[in-house]
Amino acid sequence: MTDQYTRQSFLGAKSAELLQNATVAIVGLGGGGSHVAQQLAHVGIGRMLLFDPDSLELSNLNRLIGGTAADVGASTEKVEIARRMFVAINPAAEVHTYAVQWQLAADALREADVVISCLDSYAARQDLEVSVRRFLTPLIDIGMDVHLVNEQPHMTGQVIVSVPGGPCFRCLGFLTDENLRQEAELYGAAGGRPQVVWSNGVLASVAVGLVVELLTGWQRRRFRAEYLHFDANEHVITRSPRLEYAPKQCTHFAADFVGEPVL
Amino acid sequence: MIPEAHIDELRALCPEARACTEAGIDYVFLPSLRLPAGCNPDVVDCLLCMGARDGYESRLFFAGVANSPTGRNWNTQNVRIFERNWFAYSWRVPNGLRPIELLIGHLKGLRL
Amino acid sequence: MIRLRMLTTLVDAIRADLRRPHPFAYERIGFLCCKQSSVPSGYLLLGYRYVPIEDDRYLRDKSVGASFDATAIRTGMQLALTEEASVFHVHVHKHAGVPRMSRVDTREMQQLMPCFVNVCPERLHGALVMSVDRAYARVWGTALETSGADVSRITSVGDHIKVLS
Repeated sequence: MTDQYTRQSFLGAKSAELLQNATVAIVGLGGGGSHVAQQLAHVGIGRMLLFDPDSLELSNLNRLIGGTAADVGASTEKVEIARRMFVAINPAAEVHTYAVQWQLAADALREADVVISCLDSYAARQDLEVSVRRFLTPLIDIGMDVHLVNEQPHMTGQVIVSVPGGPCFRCLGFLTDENLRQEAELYGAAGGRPQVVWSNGVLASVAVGLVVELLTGWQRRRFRAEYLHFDANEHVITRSPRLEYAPKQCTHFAADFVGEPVL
Repeated sequence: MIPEAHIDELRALCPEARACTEAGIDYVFLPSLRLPAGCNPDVVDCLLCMGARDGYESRLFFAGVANSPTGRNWNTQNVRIFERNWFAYSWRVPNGLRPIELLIGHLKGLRL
Repeated sequence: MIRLRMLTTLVDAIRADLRRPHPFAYERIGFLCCKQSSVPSGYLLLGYRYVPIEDDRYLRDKSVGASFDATAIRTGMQLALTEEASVFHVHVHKHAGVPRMSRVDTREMQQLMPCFVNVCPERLHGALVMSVDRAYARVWGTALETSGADVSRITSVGDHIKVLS
């Protein structure tokens, strides 16, 4: 093991090799995705696929890791900011950037061993999960929201792991027809979603821990899904009770839901 | 599953229509559907979702944006279904219609 | 780069089948069906179904671990044709570590693979050799050189992502 990774040798004798040989995709390189990218560079992921069509704007600077004021002026693409940051930490890594919606580079996404979703709508998550399930790819989703409780802002977030064969977002009650309908009704009226760097960082760190666990198996525990709630006001992460009641095997994706369909 | 009789009805407008399902949602694939006069392209693959999806009671997806004399708001772009990208414009059709009426109702948005 | 990916439950089912004793053959064989996708770096093969060769399709041949008849070969060809699948001949080497194809394996694949490629030339077809804990695979197809190509990365997906190759 190189000196760079000796401090994480407890992850297993082969962990550095496993991480170096893995391909991880991040869909959405905003406040959450940029944190994830930075940490994955530090842990030694050897190959990255980065998807985001947007460029940095001033309103992103409060939370987008790696973004600078100069990037705002230059309208630097978010995937370029992440790439630049990644290779500065890990010059040996191979980083592919796709400054488009992931749907326009979907064949590249199939190569990923793990996909991390940092999207900001239920509809987008629904589509992404359907696609990655076809290619037997575990999906980790992170997201945060701010809503009013008794006129006070309350920040919450989630980290969810969807593994092919195990319970999906619908099995876990995260994706429902009701929340898709409500989201569609708000279309165009939502404006910029409230986001802050520290809660994004918490969610991203948990997600990175789960990526490392998936790729190295270092904890030797059995899990087919994960659903963690983050209460950012109370600074507490709890496991969702929905995990206990979710079916062990997915009831929405058939066992033969594999590969490109024939229409 | 969509009853075969419903597919038969749609074959009046699209002879190759066939049912398909993805992640529990039923669709009717309408290959090379002819669009109303004045549209460009005039023929395009479509996907009819006769049930609720993304906040709509039903939706017609197109394999590409169809320019029409009516100038619709294509508010859904590159939604991924059956590993293809689809587009849809903002348009609501009432519930309770027969399949052929539903399809015609969705195409009405492209017709002057 | 050619990748082969399947669920851990499928790998477990394959290993469980290959472990079963046969009345006279030293080892068992089956077919793994895969969906094939093109990706920027090459090909992605997704295992989705395992079909064991039935007991009475094996031939008595003490010179090899296992041998099967023309009906079994037609089963594999039928899978390739009707399911438009990439089909792998699967057997096990009873040791730990990454296995390799033996000379007998190579000779048999030289005879078997053209059958699959001929019925379904747009797909890659191959041999998957499993050990106690790892795997090796090689593929052939019209898109490759006649000697075929190694599958660079074989993974199973379940509790964690296990690299088998």
